[in-house]
Amino acid sequence: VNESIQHSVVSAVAGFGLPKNGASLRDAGVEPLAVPDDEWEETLNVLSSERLAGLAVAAAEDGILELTHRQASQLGEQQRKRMVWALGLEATLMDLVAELEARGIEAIVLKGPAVAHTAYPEPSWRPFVDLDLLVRTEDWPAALALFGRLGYRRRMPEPHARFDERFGKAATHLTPESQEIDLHRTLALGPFGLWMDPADLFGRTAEFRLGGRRLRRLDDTALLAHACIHAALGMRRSHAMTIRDVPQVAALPGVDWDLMAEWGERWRLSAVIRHASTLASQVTGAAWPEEGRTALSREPDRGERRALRSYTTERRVGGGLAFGTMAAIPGLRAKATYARCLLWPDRAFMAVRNGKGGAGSHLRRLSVPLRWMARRTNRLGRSRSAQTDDALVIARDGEGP
Amino acid sequence: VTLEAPRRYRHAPNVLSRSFSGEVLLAAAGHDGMDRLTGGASELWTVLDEPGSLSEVVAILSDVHETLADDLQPQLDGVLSDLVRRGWIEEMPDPVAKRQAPSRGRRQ
Repeated sequence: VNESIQHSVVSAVAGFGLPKNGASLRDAGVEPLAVPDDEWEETLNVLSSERLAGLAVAAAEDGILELTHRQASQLGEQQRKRMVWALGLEATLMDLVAELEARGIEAIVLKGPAVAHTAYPEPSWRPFVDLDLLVRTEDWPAALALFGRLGYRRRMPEPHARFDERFGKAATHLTPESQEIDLHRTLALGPFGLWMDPADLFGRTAEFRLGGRRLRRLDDTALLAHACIHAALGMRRSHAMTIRDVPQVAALPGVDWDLMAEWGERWRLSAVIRHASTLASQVTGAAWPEEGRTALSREPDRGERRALRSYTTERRVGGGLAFGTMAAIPGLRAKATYARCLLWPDRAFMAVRNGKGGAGSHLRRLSVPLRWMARRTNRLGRSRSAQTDDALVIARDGEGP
Repeated sequence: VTLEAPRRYRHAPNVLSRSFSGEVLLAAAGHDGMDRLTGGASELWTVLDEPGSLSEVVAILSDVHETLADDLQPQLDGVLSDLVRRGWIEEMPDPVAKRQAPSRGRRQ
């Protein structure tokens, strides 16, 4: 497999059509990229897994990608599958928003449809595989109850009653059609989610129209903050498409850069914004907007830098997020509650987490932090200098705490 | 004298759509399945991004394809009727024609 061809294709496609990169790279004299047939299958896999099929179709139409008839047809097939899935999700969203409205639950559409229909020139450029809705913490129980009545199955129960409302970020649900819907009460798991005030986001919304309905999304500034959070702190290695959202949203005219800088300080997001900006530059070649330099100017404090490393390095799978969350929780009593919930969760949580009845597994659960600490001690012994703020190692992780 | 306003068409407001590579996918909440438009049907859909009458659509597409409008009209009429029947496109009254009709009548 020729990784350099795939890297070139992903770079060209991920940066395609960004305002700062010019409307057409072909017009700027960039040579079209052709992919040899024996490299195509792997290239198509990479484009698909990075969720770039829609952008690749547009890049091919612009002449940046020079595809054979067979290659174009296979790429079109991938894109069609993605778009059929996205349309199915949007149809579900229409029904779900109507149900939420009928019960007086205010919901903000996050990511996928909100970004595709407002930040991108064509929604077909921005696929999505699930829906994300933000509700107020006080509406969380009612929203969960509604999801249950609609037949949505929660993937992972909360470790303990009211854990979500105090420390959680979101609950993933599956519809009877196997569509994934994430119900959020904040934008990030762990310390960054606790440092921000999600209630403030309900005062920073805008409308977009979809399927004859007016839906609420985050306004341009909050959309950018969330794009940075998602690109920098996403649960898995961030897809190129997720990173591409950062410069795409940053180009929206309504971004209030002073407010971004203020959130950087008040919500301790400066390290996240900086990291997202670095990723965006590496993956898409797009420079951070000049007018937004103030949002990058604040030096993140030590706690922020350490928190960021707990998401972006191998610490993530070694308890880094749990320890980081504990440090960010204010008050000894609340810290103790958090630790107790994780160390001694409810049987229902254990059963799903372990895939068994859960019997006898609490002791094994208690041994997990001991293993984390042993691993940390070994790692510290090996090297104290391996981690950097801009490390691109984003470890794969399971769901939930 | 009663003047019949020309029928104008637009995308049904509840439609969810995606356009790429010369094709259009259509869906809606509570609507069984999706439809995929290609070729002339896809072009017709794109022209109706702005509401218009059949004759306006025919004029635009005959210009694009350098085809006689009389040849194109029956095909597009059939496609349009089908899309209306399936609920993707809806007829709308022409507000301009509605406003103008009475004054024309009075002049006569």
